[in-house]
Amino acid sequence: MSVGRPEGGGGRLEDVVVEWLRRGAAFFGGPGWLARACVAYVVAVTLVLVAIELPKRVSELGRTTHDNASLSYADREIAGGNSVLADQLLAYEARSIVPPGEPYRVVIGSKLTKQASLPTTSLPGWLQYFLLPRRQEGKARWVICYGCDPSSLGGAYTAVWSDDYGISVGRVG
Amino acid sequence: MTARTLLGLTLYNLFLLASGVSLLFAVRGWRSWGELARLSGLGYMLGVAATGVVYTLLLVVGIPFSLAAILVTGIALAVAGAAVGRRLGRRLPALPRAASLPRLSWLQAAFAAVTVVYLEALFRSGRLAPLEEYDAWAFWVPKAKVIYLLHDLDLGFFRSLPGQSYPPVVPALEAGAFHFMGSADVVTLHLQFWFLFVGFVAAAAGILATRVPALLLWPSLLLALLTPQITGRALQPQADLLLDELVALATILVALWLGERRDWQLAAASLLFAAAMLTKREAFLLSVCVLVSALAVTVREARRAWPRLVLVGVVAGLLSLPWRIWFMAHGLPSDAPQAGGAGLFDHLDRVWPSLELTVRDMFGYQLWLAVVPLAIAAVVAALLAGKRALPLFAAGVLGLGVAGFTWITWAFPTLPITENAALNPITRAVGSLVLISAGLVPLLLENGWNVEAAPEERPQ
Repeated sequence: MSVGRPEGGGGRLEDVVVEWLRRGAAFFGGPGWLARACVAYVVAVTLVLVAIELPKRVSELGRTTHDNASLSYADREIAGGNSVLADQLLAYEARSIVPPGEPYRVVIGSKLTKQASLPTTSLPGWLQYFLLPRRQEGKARWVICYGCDPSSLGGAYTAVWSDDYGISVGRVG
Repeated sequence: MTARTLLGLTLYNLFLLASGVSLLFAVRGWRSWGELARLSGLGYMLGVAATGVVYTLLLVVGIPFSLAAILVTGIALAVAGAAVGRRLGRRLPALPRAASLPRLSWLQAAFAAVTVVYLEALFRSGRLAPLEEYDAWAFWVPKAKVIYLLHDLDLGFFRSLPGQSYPPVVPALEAGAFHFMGSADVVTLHLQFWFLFVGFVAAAAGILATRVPALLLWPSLLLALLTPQITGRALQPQADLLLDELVALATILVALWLGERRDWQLAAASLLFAAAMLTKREAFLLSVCVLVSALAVTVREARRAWPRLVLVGVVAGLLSLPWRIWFMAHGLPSDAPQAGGAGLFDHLDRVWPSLELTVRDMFGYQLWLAVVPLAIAAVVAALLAGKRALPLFAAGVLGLGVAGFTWITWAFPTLPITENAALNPITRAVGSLVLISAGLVPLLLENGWNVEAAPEERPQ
């Protein structure tokens, strides 16, 4: 489908233009000209759209790169958890306190004094992802108390870490 | 997030490439090293597909998913590919006397440069990306972490997750990446999906480059890559885009087979469909759309064509069977439609809104630009040129795809009819039809332009 420079058109501009028009008419004038016109239309529109959208996408990706690079190490690692956790420290404290081979449970209560942007129902799922290979078990000794009432945990609760929002990590018994 | 994890990830993908190139040798072979370079993207994607299928088998059978198992799997695939290739009489071409760069026209070079700019920007955006997406941290990546840390499909853990019966190819590939990185680095993990994306682009371009002029190939491909949805989802550690990539490549190969009748095209398509079925369940629907369309356009030569096409679906289905047996045997919830069969008639009021939603999603400029309308124009161009097989195949795939996605919203009455991708998957699911369109449009345009001899009538 290459279209070469018209030959024998002389040096005059009008001759060159006439020759190009003649070639174009011959190209589109044969059988299947409508199909070729349709192909030309699709290619032209596609090229225009690519020319419009490419700078937009590259620019958006550049902004994303900048935003990602600006994150702190913790914000990057916690990521989706920033919408789930009322206190980012909980994730790191739980990871350092609960031994990797031990199960834990998440107990959510009404004594929380700070809310994350997502409801607390998302918390067990996110902690499950973040604290692997530690597993969640209903009767586990290790407890992540998320605004819970320690007296309802079924034994003497010792908080190893706690914050000012009613969140703590500790052990029962 | 370190250079070490990045190096490990690169080695992992070279490992997948090596396995896949060996499989390419088995199914097709190559006549020159330049041809191998052109088809290396396809080789990589075949490696990803075969590795994903074998990883699933390992997990279902209960073989511990360790680094040793991963290495043995890759080496076994490579050796098997080489042995089958030799058995089929394939030979390696002679080594070139001197290293030479591939010859590109200025047009090819320009499009290649634009693509590289885009892919480089995508790489940088993913280099330090946090794991934000709900589905990723709720189940895709936790499954991968469990496979990596505990070396198996931990049933107790899987039961506690959403999407319990979702197939395991993506988590298994991610777990393999963790092994090579040396840790469950969920930040660098985004770049695994960059490698898959680059593999898809290289495969599609490599397959089509000798059949279609650059001016017909690259704009269509680039437009699909530049859609806001594909750019936005390219690096998300989820299964949606890998599903789209595998199905789109398989569809391109089936479309080529309609004109060229090379058995390797169907063999490769079958493997890609199998991997897609083990990536997300929508692949079953899409495979049916593609194969039924192919059956329809080959009805006049049914005796010769149909057994081959049916075999593609049967082999892909059989390869996905062990996973389905595993999750059903272990009592994980079924992934069948809530209102399947006669239950559909209780929800007839959802038919029209479901269809409307699918069409609106496919044609939404803010989602997919104008890829689908241009694909329809390309179908019209090919039909106007007097071609039948390819445009009818493309129209069939798109039409059945729309019907299929309409059926999904209709058959799951709990799905709200909304364009919010977090609540209804159709907005994401139609991406497969967009990528399929991007792969078929160059062939359709070639059909429309070349009135005398369409590519489907030319020998390769």
